[in-house]
Amino acid sequence: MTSSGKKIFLYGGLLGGIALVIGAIIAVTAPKLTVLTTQLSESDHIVGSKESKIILIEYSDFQCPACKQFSDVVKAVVSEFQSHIAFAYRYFPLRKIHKNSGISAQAAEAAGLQGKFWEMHDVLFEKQEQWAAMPESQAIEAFKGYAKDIGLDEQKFEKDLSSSNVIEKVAADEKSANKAKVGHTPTFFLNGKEINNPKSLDEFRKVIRDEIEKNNK
Amino acid sequence: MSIQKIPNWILASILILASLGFIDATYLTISHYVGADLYCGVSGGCSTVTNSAYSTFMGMYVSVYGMLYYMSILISTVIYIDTKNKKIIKLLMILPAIGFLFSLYLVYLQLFVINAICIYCMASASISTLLLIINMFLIQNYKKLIN
Repeated sequence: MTSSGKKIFLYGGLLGGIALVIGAIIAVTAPKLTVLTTQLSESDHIVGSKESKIILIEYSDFQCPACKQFSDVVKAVVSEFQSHIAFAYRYFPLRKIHKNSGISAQAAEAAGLQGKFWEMHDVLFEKQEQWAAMPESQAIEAFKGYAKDIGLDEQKFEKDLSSSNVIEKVAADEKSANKAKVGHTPTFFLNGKEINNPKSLDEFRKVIRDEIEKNNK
Repeated sequence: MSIQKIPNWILASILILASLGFIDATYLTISHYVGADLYCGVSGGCSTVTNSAYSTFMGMYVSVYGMLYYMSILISTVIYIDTKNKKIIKLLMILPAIGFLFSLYLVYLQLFVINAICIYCMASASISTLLLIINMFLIQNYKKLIN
């Protein structure tokens, strides 16, 4: 091989390799933005202005650390824009990697039957580290404790937790997520269109503000 | 035994290790910037670590430094293979030491401060440890390599 041939081989290989690695990883990890067809329904847990035309839907998993991180940002954004948007939380438990994700979603739904979905939602995220590593039976005991703390009827909560209604509601959310090809949590849909997860509160504000302005025109 | 050049097996090991490190750091960086959840296996500590307050260092996401670090080792090694420039040997001795110390700090953070382990970060720490071991060989033969 000539010396310039060798140079081309060396540096070309280096640059090509670097470009290939970056390209391949972007292709594998990049979220494919999808469109959500399911609109809000009676069974959704909604805050904000229910009549609003601007609908933000989050698919989330109570055991996912990124969802916990996002929950504060979401709360801030939703309370700021509550007179302009409707926000709904839907379950997308990543059962394969989070063993208590399914039962925690059921706990929130069972609390919802007593009108305290959001209270349970907050406690589950707040105490995520406590129950995430527990075996399921122990996690259920922890959830019962939270139910008591937020003032639920414990017996009803325990009965609802594993009732078919609750299990089906969680499964229905999962089904709608799979239909929309949700691939990660949290995933946000703003008026049916998936948005890239905002990096900061300001970025989230901007996305919502832009959508509101678009709708006011 | 007189060594005038860095032996090929050393160069090959450096290239392989730095490439693995680069792939690892790039995965962490890109997942962060596209906002995807890391696929973490059963232990599940990845996002806790990569979303923690310690995931940025001097304004930049930590794995970006990892990418730059592995990339600079790759580039220096390739330049050395091409030119056999002795200044590069010095660079190849200094870089792994810096990388190792930084990894040590990150492992400390995971074990004692954040209390969660991210396998990708630990993989990178293992790679930088192996690079340091190779570095020891270079330092041991420093005089023979430079003269």
